[in-house]
Amino acid sequence: MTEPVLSVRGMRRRFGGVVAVRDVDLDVRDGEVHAVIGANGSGKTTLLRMIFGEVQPDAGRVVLAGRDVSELPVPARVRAGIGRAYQISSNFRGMSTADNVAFGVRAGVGIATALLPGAAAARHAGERTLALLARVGLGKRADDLAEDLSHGEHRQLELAMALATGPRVLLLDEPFAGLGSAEALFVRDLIRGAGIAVLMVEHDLDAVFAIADRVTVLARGEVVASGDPAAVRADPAARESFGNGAAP
Amino acid sequence: MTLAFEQLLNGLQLGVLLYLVAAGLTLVFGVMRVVNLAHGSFYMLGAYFVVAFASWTGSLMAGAVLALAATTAVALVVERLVIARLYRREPLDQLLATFGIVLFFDELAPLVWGPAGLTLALPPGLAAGVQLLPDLAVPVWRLVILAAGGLVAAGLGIVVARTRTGAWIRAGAADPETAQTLGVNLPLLFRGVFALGAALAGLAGILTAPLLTVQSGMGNDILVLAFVVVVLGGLGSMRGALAASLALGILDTAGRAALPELLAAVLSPEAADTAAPALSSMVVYVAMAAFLWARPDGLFPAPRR
Amino acid sequence: MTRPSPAVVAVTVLLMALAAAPLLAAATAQPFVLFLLTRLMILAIAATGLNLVLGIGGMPSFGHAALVGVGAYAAAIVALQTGGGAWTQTFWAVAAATLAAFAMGAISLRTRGIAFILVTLALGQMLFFFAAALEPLGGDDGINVPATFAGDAGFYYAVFALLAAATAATAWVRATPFGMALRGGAVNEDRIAAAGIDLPRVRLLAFAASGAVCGLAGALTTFHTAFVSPAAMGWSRSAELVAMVLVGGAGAVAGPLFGTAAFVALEELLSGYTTRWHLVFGPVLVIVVLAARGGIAGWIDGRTRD
Repeated sequence: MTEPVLSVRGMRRRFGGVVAVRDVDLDVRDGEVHAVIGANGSGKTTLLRMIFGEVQPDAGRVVLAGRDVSELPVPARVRAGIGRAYQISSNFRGMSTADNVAFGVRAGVGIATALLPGAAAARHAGERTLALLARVGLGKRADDLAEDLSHGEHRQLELAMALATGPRVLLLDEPFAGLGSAEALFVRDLIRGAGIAVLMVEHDLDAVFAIADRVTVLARGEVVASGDPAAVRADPAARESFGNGAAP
Repeated sequence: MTLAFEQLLNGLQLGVLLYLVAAGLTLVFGVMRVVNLAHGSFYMLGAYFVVAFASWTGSLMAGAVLALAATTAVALVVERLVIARLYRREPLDQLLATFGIVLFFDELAPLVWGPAGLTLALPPGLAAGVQLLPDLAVPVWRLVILAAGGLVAAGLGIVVARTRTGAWIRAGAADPETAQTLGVNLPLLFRGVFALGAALAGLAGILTAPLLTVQSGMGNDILVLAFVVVVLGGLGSMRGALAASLALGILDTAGRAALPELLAAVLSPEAADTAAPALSSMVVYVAMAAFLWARPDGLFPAPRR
Repeated sequence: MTRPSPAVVAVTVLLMALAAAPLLAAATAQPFVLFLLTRLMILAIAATGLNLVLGIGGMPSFGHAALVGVGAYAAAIVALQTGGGAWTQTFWAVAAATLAAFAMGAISLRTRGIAFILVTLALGQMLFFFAAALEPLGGDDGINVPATFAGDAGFYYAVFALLAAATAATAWVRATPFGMALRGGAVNEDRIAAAGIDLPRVRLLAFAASGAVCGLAGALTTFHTAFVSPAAMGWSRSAELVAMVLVGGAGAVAGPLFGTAAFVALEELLSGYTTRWHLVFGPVLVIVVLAARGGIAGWIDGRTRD
């Protein structure tokens, strides 16, 4: 077994009197798709936001490839190798599709060189942006405004934006929400083909069991089951938490 | 000892006046999410009105009551014409539109009451000193200011926390949409809260009028201080506004008392004399900067809506 | 590159008119016009500086008049205390305003939204009081400064060139990754952070750069009027600058120029009738804010699109 590329230990967070996430441990290995499932309010999204640094945990550590990133702010975690796609399409609608992706591509370039438009770094960034768009199937939409994309295309753009920063681990927040079956298949292949570690939070159990290498079930902020999909599917505690009939 | 006590009273007095202005700002911001630059204009109008009505009626008390009514009436007109159209707009639009109102009133006041500053003499009964310490007499009026501030602070606390109107105000501040579906008449509530806030600023102007020269632009300086109070207290927090007002009032007064001597130690006496007033005006802003560095959300950060 | 937008055409026409103005003024013997236009252009440079943070970066500063004042005072101090020439004055004006803006930004950028506006306003007011405390420089009353340029056309064209440069620089910065990050941050801070961009640092740099431009405008003001006073640093002057940027069209390259032109034209028009021109200007501002969105630049571009 390889060392986990992302390792989460003892994550905990209260909101007021409610414990949203309680002592969650989690590992994601290279090339692995790890899905976190659970009912609404089970703490999935809070967990994801804590790993990314958007929400401060009350306790817990996040270790990325042996490096403790628990104290780093979001941009520094991104540069360390954590990427994030969002559930709600909240990209920059007034800008072109390519400009949206270019944010992440150029972030590593630095402020000073970023000011020189004709520089080699900028050209390189442009090529990488186009390559990413082609990879997610938006090659022909580079110059279109983001606001003109369809819902499925927004999902593809989200993935391109998340991949733009060159992450080692990709955090995906419900990547299949609102997708038709053809689009879902395409996004599924994209995630599988990303070739990097993926930690996704997802509602769509069919999609989860189709592509996840490992599944963790959260209920009321706690891990009730974790392991390979077949084992989790058979686990009675897990079955109870995602409800009868929902599980295949 | 006497001197320190006197400075403390001065500081509390400034703090109380600041609170009256800041409480209105906080209420209006808390419920309507409007930042009103023209809030200082109501302070100025209160002061002008009390001078005018007191000389007309020959009684300070009658003048004060009329001035409060007049300020509130002007506020209702301003709300109807401008503010009501700003509730759903960007903060910047609100600031610019209310800035237009400031320009208007700052120009209107000297047109109506003349360009020279006005003064208001206190009747002997209110100007007379009360012997608080063996060697310290304080004019009755100053005690009136402290009492008025204390009453308003307590009254607001009771109204907001205990009464039906207060429940509307709290509901409106927490979630206007839901409050409306629960039967709260939002336009009326907004108008009422705006008028109340303006009346508080007007009251501060009325209380200050006998102590200084009433002139155009007088509202703008206290407005900026009230902004500092609102930011330090935590946006929309009434108790934050109270704590920050009193702290700033005392700090400002202490700075003005202590700075000339401190400066005299490093500068020539003449230079210290001339630089001290302006430099002591900076004390509260430096304190604000230092405080915000440590606590950017202020004393009592409001929950995000 | 597509056809230039109508606003770009309009700003080019406006700049060409400004370039030709001295010839016209000489022909009609109206030197006052040159003085007025110089003032307009200096204000437009300051508004361009503010546009970088307010329009492009979405950071509504109400303290920028104080930064212009820091530049003006620095230029005055150099002239009065050391007898330094225009280059030395300009250098120190820009340096001092950049430093002041850096400090103002470092403190105010810790806050968000309304608090940011109020904190910049308060910090500007603090600088105002500091200037008023400079007793050797006249305190509240301000002080006359030896004239560096005696109202010559050379100065007019220097200011013109700086305005054109500032406008061009805005267009350029908007399109760089730095400018894109700034614009993105105005729309969605979280997404910019998720792209790995250190937005607070980008914003602080933009704030300091905007202070540098305002410091330059301050030095030019001192050259132009041979006088400095704290009165130009108060928060209401900052609010006027904000009005110019917003009325012109926040974020648009030409916005500051349009807004300043409209502001100065209205001021001239109204003050010709009465010294109490704020009585009309105030309500006009209210009506403009209530009626208009996108400013003049947005209006010009929007009309042709319909």
